[in-house]
Amino acid sequence: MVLIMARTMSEPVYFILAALLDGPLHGYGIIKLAERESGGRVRLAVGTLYGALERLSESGLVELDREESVQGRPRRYYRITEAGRESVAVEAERMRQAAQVVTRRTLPRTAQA
Amino acid sequence: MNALERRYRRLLLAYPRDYRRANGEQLVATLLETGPDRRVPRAREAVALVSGGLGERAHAAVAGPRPWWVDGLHLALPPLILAGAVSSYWSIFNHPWSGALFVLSMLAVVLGWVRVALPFALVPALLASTPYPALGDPTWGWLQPLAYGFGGRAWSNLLLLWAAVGLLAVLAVRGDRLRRRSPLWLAGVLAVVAYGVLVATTGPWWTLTRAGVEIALLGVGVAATLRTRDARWAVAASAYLLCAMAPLVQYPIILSWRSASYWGLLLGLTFATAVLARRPVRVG
Repeated sequence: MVLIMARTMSEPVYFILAALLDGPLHGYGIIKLAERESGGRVRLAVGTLYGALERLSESGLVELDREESVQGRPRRYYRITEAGRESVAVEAERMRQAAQVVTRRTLPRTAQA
Repeated sequence: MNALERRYRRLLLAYPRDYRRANGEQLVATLLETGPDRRVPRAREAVALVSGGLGERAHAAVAGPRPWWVDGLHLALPPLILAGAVSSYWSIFNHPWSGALFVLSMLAVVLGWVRVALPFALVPALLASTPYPALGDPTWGWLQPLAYGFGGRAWSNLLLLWAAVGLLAVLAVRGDRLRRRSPLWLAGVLAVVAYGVLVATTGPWWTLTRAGVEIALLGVGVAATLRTRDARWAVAASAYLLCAMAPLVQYPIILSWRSASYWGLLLGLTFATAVLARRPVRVG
């Protein structure tokens, strides 16, 4: 399951899992962190975020940490599981290797120029 | 509750009721945090909510103890009954009570009561399968107008009615507890029956409406399969398409580019449900 996830992980899911690596976060916190860490490229819509969290929970990559009430409204915090950490790490390594295929050819030329 | 929250809650109706009960407040809270001073939702948020809601409905549809193919056969029944009513609009005009049979069989299918639906589907199929009586033939007696109004159809036209009977028989024998279907199917068959009783004339717009509904429903099937990678929509789409294409087999003609595009689109969408169901799930 983890390998399938790693092969087919979308960018929003990658940044959701990455945002949870430092500790549990609530929905709005994930949106803000994913936007900041992607340089503004990943702007998660709320419907997209909670759909992804639902699927990630079903896959065992994310789980509910706790629920608080803020101004009478529920605020749920999510945390990444061990399987989630492993999955996002595998994806990061895959992307590093893929990037290296290009950078090892282009960087020396850039340096020479 | 301000106007923005009211609008968000309206958009959340795209989600299944159970999902809204469990997660609705949390979604509203996050939505309000993303733009508390707005009066109307952002377009991208609105699109994501509707698309997310329909996706959750698709996921809810594949949950449950029923085998996927049983649910697929049940999914095929409402379009088959609706198409059966559409193809019988002239019989419904002649014998308005026959319209009630389509309505009752659809009602029972929507409620998941296939054993109740079976006799209601069987009667129009049997009536339509009777041959036209010869003029002056006394066999039918006072029932002769019924045979003229209902019977004597080509096998390709009968297939829609008998396919529904066949699927109902399979599901009735298995005896699975089936889920409820959308009441919109009932509204659809009621509209067709009312049209048959009151108007019963057709034209290019009739064909276009039918094509539009078929393409829209197959599109929904493709979207649901894309979300879940489940084959039940492929079963339903294939069952419908086989029956719908039967007249092309019985009366082979050279298709115009318009007909070819129409049938090609239906085939393509059905094929897409089968292909997408075989691919692995992508999260997010």
